[in-house]
Amino acid sequence: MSLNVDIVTPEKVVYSGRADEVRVPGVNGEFGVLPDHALLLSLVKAGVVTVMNAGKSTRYVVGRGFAEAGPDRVVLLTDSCESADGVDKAAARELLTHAEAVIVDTAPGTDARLTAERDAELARARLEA
Amino acid sequence: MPNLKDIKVRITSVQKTRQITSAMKLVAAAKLKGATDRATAAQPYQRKLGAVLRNLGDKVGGEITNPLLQRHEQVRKVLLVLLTTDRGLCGGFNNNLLRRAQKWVDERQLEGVEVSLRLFGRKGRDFCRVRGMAVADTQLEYAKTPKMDLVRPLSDHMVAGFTAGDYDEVWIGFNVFVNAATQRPEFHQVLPLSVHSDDAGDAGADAGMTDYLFEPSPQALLESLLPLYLRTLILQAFLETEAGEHGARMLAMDNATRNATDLIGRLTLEYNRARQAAITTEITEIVSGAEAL
Repeated sequence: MSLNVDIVTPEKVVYSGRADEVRVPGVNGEFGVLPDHALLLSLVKAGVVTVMNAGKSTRYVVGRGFAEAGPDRVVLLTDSCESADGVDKAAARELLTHAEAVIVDTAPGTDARLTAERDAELARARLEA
Repeated sequence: MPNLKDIKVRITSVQKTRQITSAMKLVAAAKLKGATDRATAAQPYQRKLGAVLRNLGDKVGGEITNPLLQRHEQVRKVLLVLLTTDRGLCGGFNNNLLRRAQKWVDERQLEGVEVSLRLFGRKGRDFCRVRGMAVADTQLEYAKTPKMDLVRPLSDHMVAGFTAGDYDEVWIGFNVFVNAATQRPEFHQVLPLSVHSDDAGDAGADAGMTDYLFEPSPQALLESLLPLYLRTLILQAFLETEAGEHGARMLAMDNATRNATDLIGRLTLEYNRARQAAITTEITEIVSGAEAL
């Protein structure tokens, strides 16, 4: 038995297929989903998602979003999703430095701060990949 | 008798018009392809999000509340967002929507509801200006702005106005993209959001499943998912309007090209008749002139 996995962004369906195991960066820490998982709805922070199928694993860098897991399926809805292989580390580092500078300069809760926090999270996820 | 030169001039002018309409048709067809692709690509996200929210709403329905789900007991003020296009030459695309909208506004006003209009697109502004409808806000030339940059401020405005009590309901009016040839003007209520399965088609898929685990908590999940859902609804409306515009323009320009071709045919016939008549007259004159000698 395997899982039906869908990774969907507002622009397109990135991945749709079977998998034996999926690892998802939840807000409360990374969790793995195996077949027969309990029903779970979790917010997802920017990070690396690993889809394991027949001994092969594919890694994606995803933005914030949320995941729904069940006994036979995982649905991951996310702002952005890119393959972990093609990440431009230099650009990610630059984005992180820039975002951190903005975070220091702005008050919590403002739009600029929220955007910067989101960018920093995504940049860290890219560096991690 | 029609002047030969006049007819010739008309034929040339119609030919030029036809060239333009047929080029516009091709452009619209090319843009339509991209726009429909984007509109259909965005659908799975919205559908999945809707399904998840309905599950969530059903499971925790009565227990939690969120300002965005809260129905206002008395509806006094309503915000209607209308998506029209900046440019014309797309058949009845804007007019169908706007006429419906006018009726819609009139009906609500009869019920004693104050309707505040927020328009996107020049065509909407022109329509309301001619008919003297009060408009709260207009945004023109929006087609080039990335969709998310339109959606985010709009949804923030809706949420802020709704939670502050400036609006008791928020509706969005746009042309639903059925296919390239058909667009259907519809009005969708976006706030208060409804996430219960009884008002959506794809309920029942997960019926019988219970007891979700929530991370971090149902309340927190709703708080971050509902604004997201609102945005995807608005985004979808924008995408369908864009696709519909190009579809409608393609059809309108196709008709225009065909009409121009017909017209050129008729004019050419007329031109040839006039030419023949002129030749006949000339010959008669020459013959009678020769006879006179």
